[in-house]
Amino acid sequence: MESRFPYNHIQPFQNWKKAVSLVDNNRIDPHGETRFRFDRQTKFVSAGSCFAQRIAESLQDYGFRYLVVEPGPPWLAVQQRLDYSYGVYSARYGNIYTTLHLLQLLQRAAGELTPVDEYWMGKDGSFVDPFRPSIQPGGFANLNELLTDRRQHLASVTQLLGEMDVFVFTLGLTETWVSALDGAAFPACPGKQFGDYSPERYAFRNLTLDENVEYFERFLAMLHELNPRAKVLLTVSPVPLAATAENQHVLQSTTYSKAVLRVLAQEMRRRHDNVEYFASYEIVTATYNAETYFQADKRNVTPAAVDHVMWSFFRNFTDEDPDQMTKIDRSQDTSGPLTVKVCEEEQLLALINANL
Amino acid sequence: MSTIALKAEPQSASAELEHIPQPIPIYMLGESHCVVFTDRIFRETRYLDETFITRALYLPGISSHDFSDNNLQRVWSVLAAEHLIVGDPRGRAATWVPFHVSRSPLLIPSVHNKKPRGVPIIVVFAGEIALRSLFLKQLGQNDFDLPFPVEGLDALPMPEGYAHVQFNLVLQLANQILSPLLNGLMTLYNVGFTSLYVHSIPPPTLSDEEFEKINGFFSPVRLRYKAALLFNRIFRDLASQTNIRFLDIWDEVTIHNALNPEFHIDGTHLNVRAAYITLQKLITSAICDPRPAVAPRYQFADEEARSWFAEGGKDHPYDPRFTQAGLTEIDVGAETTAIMRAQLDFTLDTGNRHVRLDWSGSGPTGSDEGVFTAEPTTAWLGRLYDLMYSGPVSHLIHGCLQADYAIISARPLSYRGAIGATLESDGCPQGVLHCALVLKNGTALEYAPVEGAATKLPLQAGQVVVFDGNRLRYRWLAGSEIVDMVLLARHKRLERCVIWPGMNLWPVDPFNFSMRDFVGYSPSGSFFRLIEDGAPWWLTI
Repeated sequence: MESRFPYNHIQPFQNWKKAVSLVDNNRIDPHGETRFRFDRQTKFVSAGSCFAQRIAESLQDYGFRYLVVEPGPPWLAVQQRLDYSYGVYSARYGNIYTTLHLLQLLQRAAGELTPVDEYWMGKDGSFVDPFRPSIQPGGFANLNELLTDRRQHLASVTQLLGEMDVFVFTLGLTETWVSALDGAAFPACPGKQFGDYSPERYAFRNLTLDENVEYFERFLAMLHELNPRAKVLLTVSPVPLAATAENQHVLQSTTYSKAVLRVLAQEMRRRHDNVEYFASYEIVTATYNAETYFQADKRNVTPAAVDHVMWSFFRNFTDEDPDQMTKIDRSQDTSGPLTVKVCEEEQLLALINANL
Repeated sequence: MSTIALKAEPQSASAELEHIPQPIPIYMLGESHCVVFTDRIFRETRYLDETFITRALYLPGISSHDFSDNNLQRVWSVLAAEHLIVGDPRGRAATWVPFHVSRSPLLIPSVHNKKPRGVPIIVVFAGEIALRSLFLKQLGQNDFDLPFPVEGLDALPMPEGYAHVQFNLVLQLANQILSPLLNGLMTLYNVGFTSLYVHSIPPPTLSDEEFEKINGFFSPVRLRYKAALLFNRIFRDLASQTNIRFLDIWDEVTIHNALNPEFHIDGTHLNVRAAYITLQKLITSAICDPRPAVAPRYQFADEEARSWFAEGGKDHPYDPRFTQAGLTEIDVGAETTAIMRAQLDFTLDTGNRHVRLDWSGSGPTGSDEGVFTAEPTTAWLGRLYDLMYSGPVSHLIHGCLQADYAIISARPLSYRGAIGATLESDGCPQGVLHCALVLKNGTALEYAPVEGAATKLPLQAGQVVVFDGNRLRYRWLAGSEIVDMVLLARHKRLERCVIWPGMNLWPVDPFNFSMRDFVGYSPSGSFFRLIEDGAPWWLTI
């Protein structure tokens, strides 16, 4: 009877002592058996919160095939391409922090949603895309440029999702600002650098687990129509909230948000065979490396943390030995990101703290 | 072996030569678009009655980057071949100086063609090769919208499968490509080629097939046109921010902004009819548009004149009022002035009817401010000479100028109607003085320091006012009648003289300016000494 005891035959990764206690902190690998194996022919696409930029960057650093459908004009210098968000992600959608924003991106691309907020005015008279306010330094010169670029962008998104093999999405936030008129979700609150805030026009929402599940289910359904063979790899951003609009401590808002998103990821994995969870959140936050994995602001992660994350990724999702892998020189590359772009969340923090 | 007897040649009559005055050259420099201008001779008859010749300075394959400071050698070489610039005569590192601003008092080309060496007109044809071979290629499969409306552009087919790029990024590419050219143009301007034009990019062929055949790559017609319009806009902006002029014939050779087939020749160039349009616009601009005075030769002449005067050891104390306020005056008596006034007939408007390319001055259009002038006789100028070079006035001017002087412009002016709303400075070369003999009571000068309140100075007939038109802003009020004079520090090559220069202000070249159409007086009957007395010939010619 003793042999039927459920814990008798657990694998090492199920055993805290073997998987955590006896392992060097920077070699803790919180994965069991994973559903997917990728290779260098796999066509990756990524999106999500700021942390997703790191994943996109690392995939390219190690020579994996990262699809970029909006590479930008070839004459731009590397830094300028970055400033204009060309190649920061697979398409020029900027950061997508919430499941609602992700769903609405597909709905807008499919022509199912035409938000009332067509544009926001920048403080300098420029035109800002409310759904990707950080992609264009100084904003667009005129509305026509914005609308033309948006049409092109949304068409690129459709093309991208149809061509890819795997969609890596980093779940970032549950808090969001939406239009009170039509529910369109924005990655940033209007009123400071762009747009005019009014409580009649814009509303704060903190998405519940049920809402997140609903939105992501609808996203998966739309994605399936575009690309039935697409796999989805979910991660949860380990980066805490820059600020919360809830009347509570920002740390409580952070743990709520991450908990909801972590459960969402687990639930999606449980429901769908083409969805897998990659435990970057656990690697950064739960391997007892807080001092070396977070920067002095206790929020942004360090390169060491990203290295650990990607080491684990390659170890669990490819057949390659991550200890033998070397980065390629991409200093002359004009097709992908080289460094991390500033996030709306960072900008929000800067705006708030500028008044302190 | 046979021999062939040579016949005696019949004696030929001597050929008969008719010597034609040398035309004024105009230099068309750059890409192959200038070749159509090779040695075209024409005469302008409305304003100047002068003959011109266009010289094509073709630099095969020259592109924007050839105008960067490091690569401008090709341009310098062709300008040197045309005697437009001279290097350091002592063979030091290449320091090119345009002839017309060099410190050489006499210039061989100038002496030989008996024309003063003014600023040569140079038209630069550049940017079109860069547009095709760099801009369109780098643009690749990217399209853009121009930020200004262009009639007819929608009639050209939209490129298919091209990505849209924001205009500011495209503009950045265009500026990257054109910046060497723009910098090179500024270099040419800054060394002294101040009559500098940049010609518009011609409208491209409307045929995609023709373009691809010529250039070896495909670029859709709509994109080609937008690129050409963008480049021309950059040239126009350059012209608006500098004194470089944009010679734009786009509207004349297009219909609804597409190439008028009447000007099509080979898919890249325009035909000779377009060249005539260019010349029409160019000469009109060269005559009618204001030009800055050419200061370097003035300044050198001024320095030498003052040095020469100082070496004379004459006692000429500074005029304290002029030193402090930039203006002083003296009364020479109303009687002489009244006689002179009676001999003037103020019937000419101040339009520059004798505009000459060797003189700077206002344009040929008559004044709309009710300012009239009169053409004086030589005898009248002689009377003015006696007045202006006599003891008290001479003493005053010496005290102001610290040099002897030559009156290279004396124009009777009558201000009858409305006057300028603002006070203006002369903007003439440093050291040039303004002077006025008041002809009529009720004359008034309003003047002010460059920064400061204005003062109204009532004047009576017979007063002489000397002022520095660079230090002061001024205007003559309605009802004023004066003899307006421009005084140079007199270089030893200049005689003491009084010149009525038509409607002009002062000569481009202080050493050597044409007197045609002018009226002048000097006691010796001459105005210039071409060769300095006692100087070795090689120092003078």
